[in-house]
Amino acid sequence: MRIIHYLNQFYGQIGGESEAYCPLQVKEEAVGPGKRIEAMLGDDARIVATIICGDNYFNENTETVGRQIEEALKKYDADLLIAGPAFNAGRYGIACGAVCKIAYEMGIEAVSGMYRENPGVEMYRRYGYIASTANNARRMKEALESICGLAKKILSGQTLATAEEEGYFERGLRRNVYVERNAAQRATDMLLAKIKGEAFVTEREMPVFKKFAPSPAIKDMKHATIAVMTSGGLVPKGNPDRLETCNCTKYKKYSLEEAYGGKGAAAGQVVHGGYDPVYGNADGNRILPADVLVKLEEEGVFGKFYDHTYVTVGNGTEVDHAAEFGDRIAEELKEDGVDGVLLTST
Amino acid sequence: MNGLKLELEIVEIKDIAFDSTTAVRDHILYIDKEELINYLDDPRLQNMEVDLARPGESVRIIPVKDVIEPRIKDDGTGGSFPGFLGGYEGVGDGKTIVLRGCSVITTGKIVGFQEGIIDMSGPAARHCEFSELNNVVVKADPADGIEPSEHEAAIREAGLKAAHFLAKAGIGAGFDSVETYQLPEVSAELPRVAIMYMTIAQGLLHDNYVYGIDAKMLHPTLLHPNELLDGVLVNGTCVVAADKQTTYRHQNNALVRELYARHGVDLNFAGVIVVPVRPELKEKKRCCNGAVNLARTIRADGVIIPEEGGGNPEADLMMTCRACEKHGIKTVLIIALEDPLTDTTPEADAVIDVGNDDEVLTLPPVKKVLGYEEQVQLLSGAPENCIGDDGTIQVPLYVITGLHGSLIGSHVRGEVY
Repeated sequence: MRIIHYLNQFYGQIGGESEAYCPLQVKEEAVGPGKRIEAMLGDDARIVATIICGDNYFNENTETVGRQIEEALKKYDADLLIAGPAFNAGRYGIACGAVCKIAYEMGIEAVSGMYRENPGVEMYRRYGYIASTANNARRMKEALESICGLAKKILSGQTLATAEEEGYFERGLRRNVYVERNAAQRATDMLLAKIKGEAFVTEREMPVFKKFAPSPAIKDMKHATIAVMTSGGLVPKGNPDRLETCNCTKYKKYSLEEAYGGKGAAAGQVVHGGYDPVYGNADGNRILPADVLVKLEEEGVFGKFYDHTYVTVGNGTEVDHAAEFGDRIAEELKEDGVDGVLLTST
Repeated sequence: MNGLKLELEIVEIKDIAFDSTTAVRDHILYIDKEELINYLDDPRLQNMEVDLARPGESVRIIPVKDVIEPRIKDDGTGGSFPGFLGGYEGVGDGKTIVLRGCSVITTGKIVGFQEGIIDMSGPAARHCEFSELNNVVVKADPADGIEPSEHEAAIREAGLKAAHFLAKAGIGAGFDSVETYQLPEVSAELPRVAIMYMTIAQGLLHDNYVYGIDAKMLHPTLLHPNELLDGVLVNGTCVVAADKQTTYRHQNNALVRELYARHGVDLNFAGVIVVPVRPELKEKKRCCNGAVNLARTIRADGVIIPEEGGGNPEADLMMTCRACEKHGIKTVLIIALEDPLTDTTPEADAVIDVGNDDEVLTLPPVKKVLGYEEQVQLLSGAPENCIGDDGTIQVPLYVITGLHGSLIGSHVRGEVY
């Protein structure tokens, strides 16, 4: 089995803080803790390359470094990536996490080790199995044992059990497992336990939603620029950018004039997979009420109707995706001097 | 007082074939295709075709509208699907003939995104209980000028009529077993358990029918579970394929079966409360609070609430859960959802998770397609470029018809790792 190991400048034996700006380099051998990893994993696994990069260089050149790591993972045909352990070193932890993410996106399993308060845990635990370690390198042996325990199971093709059982930070991913009792039986068992006041374990923790305070009201509507946008999937006819009908991975910005047959026309097509599109197809203003906004602009209710719109499909969309769309759209709108947005959902 | 007693006379169907007359012989359902097509004649439909799809065959049915188990009262008066076909007397009572092991599947391009796939073999078949049935597939196009809503109604009725037509062949054909469903008095010590049967009633082709009445028009309704077994609930929804509670699922609900099996053992099955799921907040409040009042009226100690659909119905799910718990009625929710949930409540502390439906399957090309295969690109959940150059298609589990409804009876559990 072929392993690629990621280390920072310190564990990669280049130097301490003074070398934190050293660029990425690849050595075709095990280095530092990598040697102990090889020993622990036994004869079947070999570290074919060690990627070493300065913590500051990594965090300030993420694009270049990302490309280099991707190339190395391809070149050395890795079965598994091991990053760190980073203990409580913040910059190192973030770098280890980012490397795990690159591997994850290439379909390569990744293992790391960090202390629970390392910011890399929260930022990147989704992308790999991050073993829970002590907060400093005096406990290197235990950390490497934890990492190798996970690595051995992955390399032998085993499915890792839950985070609690295996000692990694919960990735927050969901998978299907097969159990003896069907859902109807489990529901009945759980309800009877609950009625009797006996212990039971829910199969799904409910999410906790972030609350946002709305922005203050616009003081001067007469000079405000107002946009309209929708998650109702009213795209230009023919769906030129192929927005997906469910679990949409993108949003698009379109000119109302050019893409929708005139600023107040909203002549588009519904590609939202969660409702009957007949009425939105017949009159797109039912989804994206551009006609009313043109009228209000003419009446001087507000200063200017923004001439572009943003569209996505809000149907089973992942919260992370939606939040990212929102952040990016808001930034672009701010740059364009938009003061307020009318959001329509379906 | 005599409680309802329903005897299901089960006729096991092991194969289906076309023949010159419609009959059941030696566990084979023979179908006179001409006669069936004539029986289904409807001015709203054209190009009516009937095909057969058996387990293990290289057949794909797409896009699927509904799946229905053929059932009929033993005196031939209908009774199954009351409000559409049968009369209202004796529903949930007396004798009903069931052709088990077969179904009627309706197809049609009604709302492109929202009808799913049934494969009779291959990787999708492992996730679909309907792949194990001998299926009579009814395919028709709308007549010229027919709107989607009329098309939906016509296809829905054609499916029920086809099921009725086939079930008639079971009368007098001899049955293999009898299942008896009644709820005798049990010890007052046993906890009273009901099902809050969430039923989508959102309009825009997201509708279900109770005794033939559009559920949008209903206040929450208390049913005896036997009424479900006699086809009182008919699916008319065009929601995401996996979310769709097919009529077959209403007739064969795993939760109803489980509570029946445990009635008098460790619980007292107190009834089924149909809760219409409406999109408007005011109506949600009416339906959820009305349902909780019904649960209090029947003195339920606890309710199980399986969600139908996802997204908007979570508001109803959580509202019902909260109101029940407030009045001391314990709740367990059954959720079949990938991320995200759109609503939550602290009272939702007992949840059954029936798995992750965005797992992606690669389906090989099939020899025969019943329906319109190119529709796969439109299905809700199908990714961009889901049809490969080699004819394989890549789709998530949620394009499989009725996946979630089936999961209540399956052994899949979602796990976070």
